[in-house]
Amino acid sequence: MAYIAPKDYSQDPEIVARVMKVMAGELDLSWMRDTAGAIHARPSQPHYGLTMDDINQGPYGPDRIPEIVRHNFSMAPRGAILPPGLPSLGYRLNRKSEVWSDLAGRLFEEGKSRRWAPAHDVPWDALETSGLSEPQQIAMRQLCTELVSIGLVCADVPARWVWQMNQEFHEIKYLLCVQMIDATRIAEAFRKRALVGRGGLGVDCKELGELLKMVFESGTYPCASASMNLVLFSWVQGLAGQLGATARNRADAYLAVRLAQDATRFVAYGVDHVRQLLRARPAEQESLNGHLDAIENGLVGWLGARETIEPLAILAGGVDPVIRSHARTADLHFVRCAAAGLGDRQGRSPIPRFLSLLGGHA
Amino acid sequence: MSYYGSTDYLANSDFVLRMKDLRKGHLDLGWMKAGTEQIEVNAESKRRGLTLLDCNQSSYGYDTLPEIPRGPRGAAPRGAAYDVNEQADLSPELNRKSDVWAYKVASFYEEAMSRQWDATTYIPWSDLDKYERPQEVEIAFAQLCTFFTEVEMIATDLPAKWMWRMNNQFHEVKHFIASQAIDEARHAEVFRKRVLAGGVGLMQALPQAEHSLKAILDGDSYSEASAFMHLLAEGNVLTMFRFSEYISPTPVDKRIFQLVMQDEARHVSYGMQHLKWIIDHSPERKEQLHLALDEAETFSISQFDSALFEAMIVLAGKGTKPDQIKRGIEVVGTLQVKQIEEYFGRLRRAGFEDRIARSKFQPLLAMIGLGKQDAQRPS
Repeated sequence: MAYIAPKDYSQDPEIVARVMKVMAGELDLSWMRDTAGAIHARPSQPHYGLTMDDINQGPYGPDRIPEIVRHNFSMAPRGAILPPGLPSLGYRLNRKSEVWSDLAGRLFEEGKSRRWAPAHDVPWDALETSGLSEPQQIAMRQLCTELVSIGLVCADVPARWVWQMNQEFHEIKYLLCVQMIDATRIAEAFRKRALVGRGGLGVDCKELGELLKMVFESGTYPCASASMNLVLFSWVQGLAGQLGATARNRADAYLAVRLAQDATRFVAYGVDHVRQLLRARPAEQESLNGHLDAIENGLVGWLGARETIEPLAILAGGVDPVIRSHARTADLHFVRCAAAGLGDRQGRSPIPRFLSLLGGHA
Repeated sequence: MSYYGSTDYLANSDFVLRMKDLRKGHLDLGWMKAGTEQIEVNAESKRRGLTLLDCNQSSYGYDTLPEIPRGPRGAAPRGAAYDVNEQADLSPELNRKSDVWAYKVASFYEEAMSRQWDATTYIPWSDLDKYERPQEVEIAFAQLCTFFTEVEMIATDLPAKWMWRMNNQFHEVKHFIASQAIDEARHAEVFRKRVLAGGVGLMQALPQAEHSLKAILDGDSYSEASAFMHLLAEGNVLTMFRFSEYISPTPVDKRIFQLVMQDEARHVSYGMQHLKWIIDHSPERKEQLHLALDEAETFSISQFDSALFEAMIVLAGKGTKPDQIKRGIEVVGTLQVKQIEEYFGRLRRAGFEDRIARSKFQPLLAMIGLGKQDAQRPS
C-alpha cells in the first residue's frame, strides 16, 4: 500500500495499555470540555425540513472559508476542533474560487428532493402504444444511445475531481455526488428506454465521443465545470426540450421533463461557479474563454453529426425545427455565458457560424 | 493539459458541405442500419418496475460480458455499435471484469435507487426539542456524530477516485458507485445536521481515524482499497450504527441510524460480493489482498482515539457516574468484539476464511483478553 503505518500496531503494547486503562474505568474525559461553538439549528421553514442554509451558522458556515485553505487538509468536518497530528490527505483543490458556488447547498437540497427512480417512476407501459412510426422508433433509440454516453461520461467528470477537493468545501462535494447520480440516472433511464419493448441500442457517435473526451480531459476543474455544466448541459437541456416537444406518449414526455429538470441543475451550478470564479479572479476569463472555444468546436461536431441531427429531424418532422431549437438554445447559452462574466462569446464562438451554415442564426 | 479533439469542424470542407446538404433536406440515414441486436425487454415484476436485471440480455447483458472486454475504450454503451479505430479513447485503466465486478451489483444499484431518502425532510428535526437529554450525553453524542461526519465522506472519495478509470462496459458497477457516493454524502449531511441541531456543536476530529482514511484513499488498487473500505471500515461502521441505534438518546436519533444502516449494509455487501468474485474468478490475487488487509487491520487497530472510545462509553452508560461508566464499558467491550466477529463472518461468506487465522486482530484479542468467551454481553 502507498501509505504504510509507522509500526505494526497489533504488536504494540502501548495501544493495548491505553485500551486496558479505559476498559478498567480510568477515563480521561477532557475532550468533553472543548466544543467548536454551540448552535441550535432548527428548520427555518418547517415544511422544507432542516436545510443546509439552516445549519450554516457562525463558525460552521461557508463565509469563514478563506480563499486559500491552509489550515486543514484532513477529512475533519468544517468547524470541528483540529487537534495536532491530523495527516494531509493530499487535496489538490484548496482555493475556494476554484470550486465555489453559493447556490451549491440549495442545489444539493433540490437534487435530493427531486430524486426519481427510472425503474418504477417512468410509466414504461405507455410505450406499448408509443405513437411512433418505425423510423421514429429507431431515431429515438439512436438519441437514447447518445444520452447514455453523455450520462456515463458526465458521471465520471465529477468523480474525477470530487476526491481531490478539500473537505472545507463540503457543499460542493455533496453537489458533485448529486451530479454523479443525476448523470448515472440519465444513462440508466435512456438505456432502458432504448431497450424496452422490442428494442436495441444504436451506433456510437464518434463526434460525441470526441466532445465527451474533451470535457472529461479538461486540464483544470474550472475548465471541466465550465465545459460540462455551462456548455454541454445547456445543450442537454435543449435536447430535453426537443424530446419533450416531439413526445407522443407519457413515458417519453416524463423522461424529457426529468432530463430537463436535472440538466437545469448542472447549468445553474456552472453559471454561478464561473461567475464567482471570475469575480474573485478576473484574469481567468481569457483562459476559460479559450477553453470554451475548443469545447464549442467539439459541440458543433456533435450537433452536426449525422447520428445526432438526422434522428432529431426525423422526430421533429424536418431539419428546420431542429435548427430553430438549436438557435434558441444558443441564445440562452450566450446569455448565460455573459451572466457568468465571460463577456460576449458570440463573436468568437463557432456556434453562430455553424447555425448560419444550416440557415439559422443565434 | 487538455484534449481539444482532432477536427476543426468549420474548417473541414466535408463537414461544411454536409451541413449545406442537410439544409437542402438531404439525409444520409446510414446510422439507421446500426446492426445491433434487437431484444425483447419488459419488466418482470410490475411492482419493482423495469430493472437493470430485466435488461440483462444477449450483447446488452452483463452475464455475457467477458473477463476482458477487448475493444471498447470510449463512451459507447455496452451493446451499441462502434468502430474500434474511430472511437474517442477515454484511456480506462480498469479493464478486467474481476477488477471491479461483484455478484448482485445490478440489484444493489436498483435497491439504492428505490431507497433514496432525504436527511432534510425524513428526520423529524423539530421533535428533538421534545426529548430532554443530559448535557453529558448530548456532548458524547456530538462527539460520535462528529466522528461519523468525518469518516463518511471517505466512502464517496475513494470509489470516486477509481470510478472514472473504469471501462464503461462495467456500467452497473459505476452506477452502484454513484449511488454509494450520494448515500455517503447524505450520511455526512445527516450527522452534521444532527450535531448542529443538538445545541453542543462539532467536537474533535480524530487523528488516528484520519490516518486510516488516508491509507484507504491511497490504496494501490481498487480491489485492495475496496477490501479495506467496504469490508473492514464500513463493516465496522455498520456495527457501530447498530450499536448507536441501541444507545440513541432519542427516537429522532434512532430514525437516523435506521436510515443510514440500510445504505451501509448495501455498501458492505458490495464489498463482500466483490471480494467473493475475485476469489472465484481471479484467485491468484488472494495474496495481494492478504497483504492489503494485513496493513488495513494494523491501521484499524491503531484507530484508538480516546475521545471516541470514551464518548461511546458515556453514551452506552448514559452518563459519567462510576456505575454508568462501568455499564458503558461492558457494552463497548461487547461492541469491540462484535466488530471483529462480524468482520470474520464477512470474510467467511466471501470465501476468504483463511484470512481469519492470519488476521492481525487475533493477537490483539489475545493480548487484551477480549476473546469471544470473555465478552460480557449486556442484557
